Amino acid sequence: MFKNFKVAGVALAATALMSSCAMVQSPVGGMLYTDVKSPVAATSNSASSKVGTGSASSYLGAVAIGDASIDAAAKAAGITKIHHVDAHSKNILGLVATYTVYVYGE
Amino acid sequence: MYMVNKKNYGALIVPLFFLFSLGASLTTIGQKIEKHYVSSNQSNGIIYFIKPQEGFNSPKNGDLVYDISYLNSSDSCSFLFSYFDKAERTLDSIGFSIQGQYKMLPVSKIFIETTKNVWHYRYRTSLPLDDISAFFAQTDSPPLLLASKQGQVNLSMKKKRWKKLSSINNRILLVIKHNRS
Repeated sequence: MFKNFKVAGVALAATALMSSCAMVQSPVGGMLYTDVKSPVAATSNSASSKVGTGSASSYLGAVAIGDASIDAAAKAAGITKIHHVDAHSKNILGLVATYTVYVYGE
Repeated sequence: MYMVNKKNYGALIVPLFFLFSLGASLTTIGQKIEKHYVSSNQSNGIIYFIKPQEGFNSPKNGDLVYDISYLNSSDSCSFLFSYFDKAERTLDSIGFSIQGQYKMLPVSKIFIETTKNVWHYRYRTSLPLDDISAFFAQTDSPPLLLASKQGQVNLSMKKKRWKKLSSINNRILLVIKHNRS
């Protein structure tokens, strides 16, 4: 009887884990691991001296929080003229996924 | 039979403990610094950005998160910080404890926001690269001081956290110095 409960518990946990995977936006993605930097935007504005960042994370594909907007990243560094924007996508086993933007400007 | 099992556990625990200790020490010494900063080539030089780091806090007041950016064609770097506190404040300056003495620097406001009952103060200051290097070169966790019209806030970092962060930052600052124009 106890063995049946144990098997059912393991099956339930496995189903829960397999059915909800954290995903992240990336030009290329790995099923087990993703660690990719990519471009988002570039402008004709002259060189930058400030950098701002913002990120958002997803846990098990169930909960996702954060602010990875260009606006938030630019605001954090007091940037009013954007030079270019890069992104960094990270995903570990679909358990935790993080998307971070880096805004360069003046 | 029981005694044999007990002995086996003991024989396993000792090497595991040593392996764990070795792993922990190697992690501290050989930190991968690539994930802690980004750099970008600009027409006016290379810009370095040390990603946000947390750890400075005051038990009675609030927490501080900082990031550092440096353009290698200039002598000074920008130290930007977010300070979270329940109290309403007007920050004047920030003090870096270097060799037991505070180097007080004026701060300029980026924005102030409030969510629920916590205030988010976002400020910046600039200081010479040599000063920030001297700050992170200290072995004991140095305090930070925030001066405001409403009083001073002393922020400190746990020793273990400081050891890790200072090791990372020292190596990043070394890379920056080698690429300095």
